[in-house]
Amino acid sequence: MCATTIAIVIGMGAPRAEAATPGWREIAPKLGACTYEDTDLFRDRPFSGWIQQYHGTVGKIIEGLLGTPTSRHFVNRRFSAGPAQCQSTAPVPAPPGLSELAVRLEPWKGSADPFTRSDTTPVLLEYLRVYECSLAERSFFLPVEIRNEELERRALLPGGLGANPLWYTDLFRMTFEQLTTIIEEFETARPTLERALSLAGTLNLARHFSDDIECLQRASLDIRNALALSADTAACMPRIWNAKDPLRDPPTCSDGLDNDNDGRTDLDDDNCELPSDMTE
Amino acid sequence: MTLRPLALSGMILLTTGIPDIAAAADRTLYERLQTVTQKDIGSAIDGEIADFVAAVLNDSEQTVTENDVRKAAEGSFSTVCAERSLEYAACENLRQKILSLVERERRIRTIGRDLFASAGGYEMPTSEHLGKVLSLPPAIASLLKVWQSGIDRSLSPSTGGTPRAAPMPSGAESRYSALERALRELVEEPGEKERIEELAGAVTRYRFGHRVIRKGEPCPADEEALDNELARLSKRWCAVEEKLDQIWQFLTASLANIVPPVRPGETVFFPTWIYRDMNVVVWATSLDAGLEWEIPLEPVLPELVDDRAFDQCMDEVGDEPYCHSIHPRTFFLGGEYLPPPETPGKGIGICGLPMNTKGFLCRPIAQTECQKAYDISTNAFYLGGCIDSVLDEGISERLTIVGPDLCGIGGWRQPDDPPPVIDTPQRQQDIRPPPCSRCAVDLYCAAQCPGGGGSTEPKDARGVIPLCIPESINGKTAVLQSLILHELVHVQQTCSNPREILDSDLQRCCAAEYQAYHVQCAALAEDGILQDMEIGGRRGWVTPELCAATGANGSCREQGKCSDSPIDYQEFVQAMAVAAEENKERLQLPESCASAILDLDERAKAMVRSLPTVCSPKCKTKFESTIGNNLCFIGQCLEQSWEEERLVPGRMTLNANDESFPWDSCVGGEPAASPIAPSIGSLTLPSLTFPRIPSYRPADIAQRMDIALCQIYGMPLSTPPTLCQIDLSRRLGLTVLDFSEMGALISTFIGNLLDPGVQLQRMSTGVGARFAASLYADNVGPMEQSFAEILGAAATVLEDIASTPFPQQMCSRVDRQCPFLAAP
Repeated sequence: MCATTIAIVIGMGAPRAEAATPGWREIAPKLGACTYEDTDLFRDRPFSGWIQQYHGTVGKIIEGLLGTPTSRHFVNRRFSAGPAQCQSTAPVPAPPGLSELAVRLEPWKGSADPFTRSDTTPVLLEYLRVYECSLAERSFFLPVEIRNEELERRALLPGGLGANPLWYTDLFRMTFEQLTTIIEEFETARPTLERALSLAGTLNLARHFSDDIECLQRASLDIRNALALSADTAACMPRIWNAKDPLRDPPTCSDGLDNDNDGRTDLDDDNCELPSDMTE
Repeated sequence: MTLRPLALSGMILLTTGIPDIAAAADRTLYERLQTVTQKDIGSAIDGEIADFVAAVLNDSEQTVTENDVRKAAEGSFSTVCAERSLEYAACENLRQKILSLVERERRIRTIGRDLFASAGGYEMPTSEHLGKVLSLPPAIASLLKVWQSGIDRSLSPSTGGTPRAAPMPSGAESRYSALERALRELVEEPGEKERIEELAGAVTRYRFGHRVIRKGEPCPADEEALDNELARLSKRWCAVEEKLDQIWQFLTASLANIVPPVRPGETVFFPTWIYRDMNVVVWATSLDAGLEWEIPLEPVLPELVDDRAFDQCMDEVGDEPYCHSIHPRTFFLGGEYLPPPETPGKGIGICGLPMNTKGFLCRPIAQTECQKAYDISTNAFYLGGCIDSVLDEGISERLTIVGPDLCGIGGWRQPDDPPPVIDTPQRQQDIRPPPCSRCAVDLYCAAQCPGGGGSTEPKDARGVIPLCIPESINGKTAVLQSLILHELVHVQQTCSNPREILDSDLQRCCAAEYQAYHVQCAALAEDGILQDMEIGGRRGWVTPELCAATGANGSCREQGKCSDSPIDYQEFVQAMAVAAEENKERLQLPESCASAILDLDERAKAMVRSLPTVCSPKCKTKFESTIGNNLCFIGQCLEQSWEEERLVPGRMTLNANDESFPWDSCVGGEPAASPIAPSIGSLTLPSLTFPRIPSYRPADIAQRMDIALCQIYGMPLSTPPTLCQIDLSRRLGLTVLDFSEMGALISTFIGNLLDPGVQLQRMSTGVGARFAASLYADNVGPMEQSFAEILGAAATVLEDIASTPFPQQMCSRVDRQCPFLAAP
């Protein structure tokens, strides 16, 4: 499904796979499956912090794509990639936070390659997959997970488990609440990310044209200045042309000189057939 | 030559403002999307939907409140049933009714939001307000400024004025704060469950400015909006409107002290203000001020409940049961499709914005190179299009006596030394052509000129071309301003050419008159007069090209026909005079022939200034340094050289007199001389290879997607096709009543997510992005092509200049035996 979605959510450029990273193709089959390792970003943390962790991280990266506001009152944003690079073919750097996230995900673990803006979509979709896998894994054994966590937590409270027993009614209530949250996250996390990536993708596409126009503008100023110099030069042209006619060198075969130093001058030279020939 | 700083070059810098840190509480784009998605899919349903469903199900048998609907959506409806002692079957029945209705309404809203995001993303870069994310028009306007030549104004009219930026004046913040408070009043339940229907309505209503809605009158508190689900499209928010107006008044007042002063025709842009936590920006120019989303997320959705009478009652009486009984909330069942939008008129909507009004959406573009690549089909609306050449086949638009006559028509030069003699409305004997010019013009008034209208007379022995202007045309004087422009084109045409080129045959007559009328009609269009011309009972449909073709038909009628223009010439002349008269006060058009000459239009002055030759010794030429103007100068120099100077002995150019240089026959031939003209042949102004005018088809895209949806689900096509989706069960869209259903849901959610229909629906914004990409590619590509062309031409010119051979000895080719030279 993720692979399909990558194809759908256009605008963020080609996935990193096409940047000659052989490892990417190998991990593609992993996208559809959930493994135990896939969940380690969330597994060892309290469930109460999962939502904040996931949405906070994604939100920060999406905001980085839009650019950082430079002013409280004015609309301007500063793009992390800086002004348009007109002569550089280097890829645009990744938004802040993307590299840190990517190296914690299975496909890019230990990668030393720099991440680019084009990596945003695959990395975030992989992060979403990990999040969904973590939610699914938890939901399958939810009462057990909650029971273990609660027993562990209550044992650390003053008085231990004896003073803080875990009743089945509490377990059912907590299971119900967490399952409701999990379902809600299942329903909304993916559409939210897809909408965000679509919007960011549109912006990203438009940014290419914005960069093109900026570069065109800079080049236009250069050519305008060059043409202004040409105009100054051109102002002399009629006079030059008037003057140069009587001043122009005569043809080589009628200039009275032995141009090729072979001892023969003008028509005496075998190479001259007519006085107007230019080569002696 | 004068180098003038670009008006727009500092725009972006001016809007940057003083950096500070955004408020920590501002909601990010992602958080807003979360809220929207939760409203569409999650348990947090739209308040308006809750109101609507409660109102629909509330009857004499059962009472359903907004809270009941929320509880049903949240999965805690059992508590409601327990409170009302409903049996399980009745409870489940009611819950299913609620969820079914909620699901239907949500579905429509989700599609609405997806379409809005798609179209909004598509349109976002077209915003012209400074500093907005990827705002392309200011950059393009700046680019055009670098490229344009002065003659473009004569041949390619545009309205909206020259853009210019101004800093935010001090003291503005308090006014923006007042507007912020007014806008905040429109947000209900601020936070994650905020209701922003009213805010969305206000942002949409004032998207193109508030002054176009006010029309100079204050906001009436009791203005009636539409009485249906589209009420928010016509509603006015007086508090917001007043605050916007106060901001605009304050900002425009600050322009009185700006340096350099604002020139007529300039449009000043102020920095764009933002309320980040509301996602709303406030834009302001010297023409208007309005609102816009920073990132478009929330459309104006159809109103479901009409509680205006109830609210008014509550304001007046404050007794809810009483008001409820007297003015019960009503709801809108069903809805209707709006008619497709029409091409925006002058000053309406997007065409009221200074930069966008120059675009193809707001003015027809005649372009023979324009490709007609569209399949005109149903379910699409086209705001742009191509116009065929209006002249008959075989009739050229150019005179082209010799060479390309580069920049010969129109004015591209700036004022230099004042003329030695000021032109007056009378014939003058003391006018003489200046040393750098082959002609001078003498405008004068007469009760009647030859031919009935204006008349350009032959050049007299002094080199003066008398130009007769009548006291009025059909009793109207306002049209005289543009008539002078028309006649000045004829002056430009005959200044260096014999007068016969004006009317010796049909081709020449049509070419000469078409050029003259084109400049005249372009000026009328620039002033907004052409759009007011009423011909055949309709206004605003005559393009400058059609106008010019009609005029050429009339002026050349004795020799034949120039075009197939359907407009009668006499009606055309009358309509032009009437439309100009209607705009007389606004544009301060001439009251008489004398005032038209004494207070000559700037465009006419520029044309008179452009009469002298550019490259003659001791002649000054002053122009704004743009690519176009520099090319005009270089081109005219080359043309002057080629046409008027002796490039090669014995090969006289058109205007050089052979007998003037008899000794040339004694000069040796030039075997190296190329028979091909210098690079003048390759030097033309940047070719206006307009990109393919893009189609604007969000409705078409949406419908195609819906049809695809129906096909995927194996259903027949429905009208509207979204009905295919409404009938589908989407159990995961809502939470469940009890714990026992959860296991089943967990096992089916992946399958639901994998559903191709859901995927297709979610890719709608991606479809928008793809269309946007093709749109911009279509536009930017040809621009780069023009750029490459001009670079190539410039390189050729420079190479030719650089490769000019210079002699090694003086006068080496002069034949010493020549009898002319040999004579003492």
